[in-house]
Amino acid sequence: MDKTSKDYPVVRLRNVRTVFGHHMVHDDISLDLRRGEIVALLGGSGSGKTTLMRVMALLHRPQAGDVELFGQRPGRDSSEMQALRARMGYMFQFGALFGGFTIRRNVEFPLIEHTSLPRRLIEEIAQLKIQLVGLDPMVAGLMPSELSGGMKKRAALARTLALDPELLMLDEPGSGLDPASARSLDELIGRLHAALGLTVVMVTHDLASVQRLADRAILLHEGNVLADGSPRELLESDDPRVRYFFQLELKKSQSMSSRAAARVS
Amino acid sequence: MSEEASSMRPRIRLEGHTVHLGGMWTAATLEKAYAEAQKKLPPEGTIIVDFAGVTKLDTSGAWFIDRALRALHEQGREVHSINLSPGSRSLLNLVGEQADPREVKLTRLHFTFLQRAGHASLKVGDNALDYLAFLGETAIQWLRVVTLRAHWRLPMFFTHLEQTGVNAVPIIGLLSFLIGVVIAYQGLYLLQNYGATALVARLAGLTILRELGPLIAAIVVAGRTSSAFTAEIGAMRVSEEIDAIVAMGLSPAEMLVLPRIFGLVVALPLLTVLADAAGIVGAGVTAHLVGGIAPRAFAHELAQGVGVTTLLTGLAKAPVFAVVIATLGCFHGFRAESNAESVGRRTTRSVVQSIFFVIVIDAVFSVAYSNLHL
Repeated sequence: MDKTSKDYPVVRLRNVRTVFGHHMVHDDISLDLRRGEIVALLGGSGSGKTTLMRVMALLHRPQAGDVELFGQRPGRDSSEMQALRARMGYMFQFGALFGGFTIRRNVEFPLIEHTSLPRRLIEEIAQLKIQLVGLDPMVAGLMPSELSGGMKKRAALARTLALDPELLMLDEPGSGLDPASARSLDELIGRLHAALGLTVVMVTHDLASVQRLADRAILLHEGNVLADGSPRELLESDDPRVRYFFQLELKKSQSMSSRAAARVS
Repeated sequence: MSEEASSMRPRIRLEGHTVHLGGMWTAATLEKAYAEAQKKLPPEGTIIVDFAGVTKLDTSGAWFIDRALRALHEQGREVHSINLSPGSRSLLNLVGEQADPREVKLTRLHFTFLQRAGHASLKVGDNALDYLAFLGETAIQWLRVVTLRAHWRLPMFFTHLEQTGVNAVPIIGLLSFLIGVVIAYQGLYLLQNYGATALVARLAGLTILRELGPLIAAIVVAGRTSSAFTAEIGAMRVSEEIDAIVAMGLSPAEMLVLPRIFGLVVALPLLTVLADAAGIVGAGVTAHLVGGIAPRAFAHELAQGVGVTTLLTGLAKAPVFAVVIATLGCFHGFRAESNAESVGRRTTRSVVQSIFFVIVIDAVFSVAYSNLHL
């Protein structure tokens, strides 16, 4: 099959089983992520969302099962894995920016390492990405320790986008951001997705963001996929466990917004 | 060149007033277009940019094209883009909306040599004051523990005793044994000129008990333990564990520093005794094997020449070394910033300073002992 065709799965998991010590995180998970999808991984704390994304990014090797990326099954060959990883971008929950570099240097870093572009062009591209994610242009000269949590998140997204990855993985992109910033971040991801045809996987607790952005939501529960479909399908599901999850999450976000409203009034 | 490779590289073809773009315009392929793009622009008039042949465009490529278009606009020339795919159009729009990244001038602070020297010397003073404050805080916590207003954290104490003391036994024993061998070797060689090889026991005993035993134990511990203390506490800083202790209304000095100091103050004198013993054994074995001096004769000579005072003058230094090593190790851990690089820098600094101060204090002891006629 043509590996660039629209329906070829970007990520294919087959019977993935992950165990930490005596604790089973994933029992038997199989799923395909198609090119151009925006997929939200949902589930309670400890349901293995982030670990599943780490398995997809080849950062964690499952105890059993197969992982296929872009139609290739990576072996233990590290150069092969590096080539695959260069096609994807992973944004870590707390940014994972290099503390010894300025923000611009952090964003330049993958460009310097993976391309042979002239230095001036790299500087311009890095600066552009920093502005794209909505950071003040002058933030580029600061060190990560001088940034707030939300700014770090945006800077980390700029670094993740440095090479325009085909597969973008976001670990709780909206957490730590105020609602307006979270919304504008969603907008940016949406625009980049439309313009570049990215495939996006994100772990999130923000149901509003899921409804705004995602084509597909996958709910993990006790090591398995409990529900998989469009956000609307999941919200309207008959399964009591799915309903229970959404009720809890909705209650959480409602109580947060009513508290915020109370504070305003 | 293979067909695939040539379809990947970005192409620019000029035809009248039309610039035909083709191939892939991505960060990975752009390099080839960089030089070419400058030359292939129509000399004057309206320009039509035809995107029909572009197979792939990413933000880097879009910026590359956008900056060329911006330059043409600045020259007052009219530019029309045609045959843009919807994706490419929205990407070019997204990039075009941004302020020109070339105009951002990041200010970097530059210091002259004199400014740097001044800054560094002020920092030395600041660090010394910080260290003094840290010692003060530790002393207050120590008083609270001694007066039973705070806990003796015995399990922690024993853990540190094991980690800093018991686990260092093999390396310190071996090193001191070898130093004993070396001293006996050199001593025998020197003393045989005077027919006084029997005195090698006094020579080795005096050097090892007074100076080398305590020093070797302290230097090995400075390398092993002060680095471990800095790294442990520094890592706790990075993960905000220290802040958590403070936020719970507890004292990090009492919980983290005192058990380490107590552990080392007990461990280092014991290690010094071990170093003394291993050194003497090394010297005795060498004297026997190389100098033909019977162990009994060696022991006799040792007992004659080296008294308990010598042993004690050496041992008395060990607790002082221990306090310096432990407090410096902990101090640098607390001063680490919350990033990995800073923890590494602080670890280096704590080892270097520990060894430095161990030797300085040893010199102070020598002067003091000689004034006291010990």
